[in-house]
Amino acid sequence: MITDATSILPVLVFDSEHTWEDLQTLAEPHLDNDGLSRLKRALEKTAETVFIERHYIDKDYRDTFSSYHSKKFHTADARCIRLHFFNCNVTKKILSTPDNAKTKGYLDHSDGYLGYSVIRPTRPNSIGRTLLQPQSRPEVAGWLSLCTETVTVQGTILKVTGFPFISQDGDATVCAHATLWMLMRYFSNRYSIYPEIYPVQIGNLTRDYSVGRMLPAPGLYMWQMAEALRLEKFASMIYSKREFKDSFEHLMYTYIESGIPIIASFKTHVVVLFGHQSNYNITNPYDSDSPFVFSSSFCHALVGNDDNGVPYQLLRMSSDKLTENGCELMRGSQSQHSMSDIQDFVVPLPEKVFLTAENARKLITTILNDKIFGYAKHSNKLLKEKSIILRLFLTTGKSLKKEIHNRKQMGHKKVSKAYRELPLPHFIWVCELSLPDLYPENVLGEVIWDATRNPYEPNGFLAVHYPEKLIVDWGSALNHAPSFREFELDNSTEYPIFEHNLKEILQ
Amino acid sequence: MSQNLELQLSGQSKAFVTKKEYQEFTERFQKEVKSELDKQQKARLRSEDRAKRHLLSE
Repeated sequence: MITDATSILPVLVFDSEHTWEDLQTLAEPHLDNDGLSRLKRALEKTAETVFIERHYIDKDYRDTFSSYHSKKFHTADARCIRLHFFNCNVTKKILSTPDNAKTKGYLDHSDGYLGYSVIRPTRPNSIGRTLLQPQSRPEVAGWLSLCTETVTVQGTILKVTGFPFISQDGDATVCAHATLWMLMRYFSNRYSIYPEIYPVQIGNLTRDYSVGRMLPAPGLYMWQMAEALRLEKFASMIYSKREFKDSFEHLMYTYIESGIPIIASFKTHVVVLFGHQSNYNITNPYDSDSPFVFSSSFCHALVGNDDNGVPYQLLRMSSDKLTENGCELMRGSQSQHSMSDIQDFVVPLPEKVFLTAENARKLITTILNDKIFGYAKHSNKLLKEKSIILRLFLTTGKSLKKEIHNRKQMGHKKVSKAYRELPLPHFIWVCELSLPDLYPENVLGEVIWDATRNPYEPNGFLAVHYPEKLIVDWGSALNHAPSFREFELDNSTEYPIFEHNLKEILQ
Repeated sequence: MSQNLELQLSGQSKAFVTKKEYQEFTERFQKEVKSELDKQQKARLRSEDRAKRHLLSE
């Protein structure tokens, strides 16, 4: 059914007589065949109603239009079309007098809102700023970094939670700009410390590190992308697969598990990765001489946005490790990509994270094996196990404390009380300790390491928590010389894993 | 902030390591991690160098 086809806000409800092809008619001339195909691939399983918001002025397109498109002899339209998707039958009347909007003040995914997509008049890629709920793609499941935006349609407030997506326009922006935009928009949506930034501004961040013209955009080198992030308050780090052969995939996973999306490059293309899918039933991670099995071993795919595709695509760990579930995979021009095709990645670390993931891994495993502080001395429960699962991630001291009450007092009331009292730095590395029959739901302890420490300092750990013992460096916590306190823990229990960094999306 | 504050927990905390044990720990720890940390630092520098030649334009 189509309502008000010639108005400023027509509504399309998919039924036996009206299909996605009608959407192209209603959104012409902006929506081209490629754009329609992408929207259909992304949303055809869930979208039932589409609001077509004509004459929409989009801040990101206006940025490229003012700096580039308006200077062309054949000038594109300055305005866009914005499409709003719902997974149920929504009329204009429901939108203008929604019951839920009366009580909550807005409509969101619980009311059927799936998100929006701005359609630009650009060719070859018309899909502009887009934010869709991951639930709009039912085949996408896993743990994802997400942010929330609020938009309005004719005065009604709509809320959507997802990961930002935009396609390159091939003129003012290419894949490198689109990927930086997606990453930076996630951060500016989620954390007020990061400013909102627009596509041409992103290119201009590399102005002092470029040779030749800036527009049309010729592409960016990987180090220019890292530099652009540095200029926007990130302490970006670059990792090359050739230099981190054995730990490359573990490092990507660890940063993603920390809620920090990464920029990953293939031979000539770049994407943003912000989530993971894991299979905890595989047995091969345990076939190792080391008792330590990192949670990254269970990861079989990363979730990301490729600006040449649709939001929420999978990047498989390797071609033989994923059961097909209908989710769209990242593709190169010739074939499907896998994680083995990634050549390097950039992680935009927060400014106050001085200790990197590879440093933290080495330091924490060394402490766990130490003859004074290690588990062999303090934990019979862990010592008798063949495998100990380690889950390493970065978080804030504030987040750790906020989650204590949701995590069964961290297995023992003494631990809960000690952690609440312990002064913590802004950022900490946490390495949770678990066992195969408890993971991924529960853990038995953790090591907490100060992320602002120099890696060569041996006393960077603030707490080591085993099922039977808690060791706290109370001296370092008070900015004094190390002074350790040891507490016996009787009858401690397992407790839930830390979940604050990522949101679990169920299939 | 030089007050002698204490962690307020029921049950006692014990002095956990002697000065000598702690000294031995720091030496042992630094020896254990140094070569790996050095290797990681060099790998990061070489990664930055490689990134200067990696153009992304598709």
